[in-house]
Amino acid sequence: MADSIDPDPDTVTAAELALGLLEGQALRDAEMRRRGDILFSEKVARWERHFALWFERWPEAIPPESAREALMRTIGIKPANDNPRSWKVATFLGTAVAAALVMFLAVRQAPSPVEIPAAEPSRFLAAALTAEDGVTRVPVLIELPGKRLRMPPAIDVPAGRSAQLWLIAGDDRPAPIGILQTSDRGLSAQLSLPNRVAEGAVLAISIEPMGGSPTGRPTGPVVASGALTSI
Amino acid sequence: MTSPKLFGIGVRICGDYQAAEDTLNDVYLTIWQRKKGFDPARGRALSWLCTMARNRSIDWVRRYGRPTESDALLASMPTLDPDPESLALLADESDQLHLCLEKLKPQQRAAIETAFFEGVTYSNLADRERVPLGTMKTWVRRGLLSLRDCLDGR
Repeated sequence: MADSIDPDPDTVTAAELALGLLEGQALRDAEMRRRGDILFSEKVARWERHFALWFERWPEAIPPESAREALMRTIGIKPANDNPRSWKVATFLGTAVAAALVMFLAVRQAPSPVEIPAAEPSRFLAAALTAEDGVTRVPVLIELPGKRLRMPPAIDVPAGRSAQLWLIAGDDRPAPIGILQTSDRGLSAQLSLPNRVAEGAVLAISIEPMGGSPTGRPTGPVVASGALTSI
Repeated sequence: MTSPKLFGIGVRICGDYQAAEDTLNDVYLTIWQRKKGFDPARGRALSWLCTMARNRSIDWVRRYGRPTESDALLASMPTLDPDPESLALLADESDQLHLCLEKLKPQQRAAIETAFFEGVTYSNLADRERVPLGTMKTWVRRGLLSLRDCLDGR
């Protein structure tokens, strides 16, 4: 047994937990340690990263349309059922959401200087906002041409205040483009966006007096910001 | 695109399309509602998503059991790519994992790979290989120790 041949049985237990080999009491013990023991949870995470290389070999399977629709409902986007192109739109939304999700996870890359033709239907802007701590990434998805913004409930808005959205294009002054509203599916806003948004324009969120900044410029702390990219 | 990979993970481990759908949805919902976001220092995005999909699928199997495998599902289930050529494009770290796996005894390597790709427990593995539980544990644990030593450059 590993205990007798290795001075570091934790490493083996961590691998067993990462692989899913354990069951019963051994599983419960290991799960408890993962939650309470940082060193142990790091070992599990390390094994998970090693084994994750195998996902390259994992065969893909195309999810049925119902999965896409469920995904849309999950994040609060209703596929247009009366639209003959609804399947296509739903597929695209699925791609867009997946891209947004991956993007917010990935290290942000320098945006390319491409202009987005806002008149073209079924286009999306996305951003991976960096929160105040400089590390946390928060995904934001903007549907064009509806100019509807959605994001998870990642911004804490103090009572009696508003979270205001700003668009900063190049050296321009920040332009107020909307106020975040809380819904059961996170945060959303109806934006007043210009018809053309330069790729790489920055979206920022600041905490302002209720209803938005009275001066038309950000007055409170910026709690998140990031560059917009078309997807 | 992410979802065919994540869906493939759910289908293979749960052995059930509906469960795979639920798992996929669960993964997206978790990320979407995750208040703290994602710390990019902890790993690459796709690996992280895949790991979450695999763990959620294993949780599902633990809770509801693996369904009796129907012929139809098995027939439509994609098989694993047995060709290591597909690994050729991977980064150095993957090469290292591959090299380290090559050093394991075939039975050790097979057991660890089956555990990963099927998401099965020690008892399942022992049943499949028709060996005593203790024997299977010894194979896997010795394999994991060798793997760790090799990956750590010992």
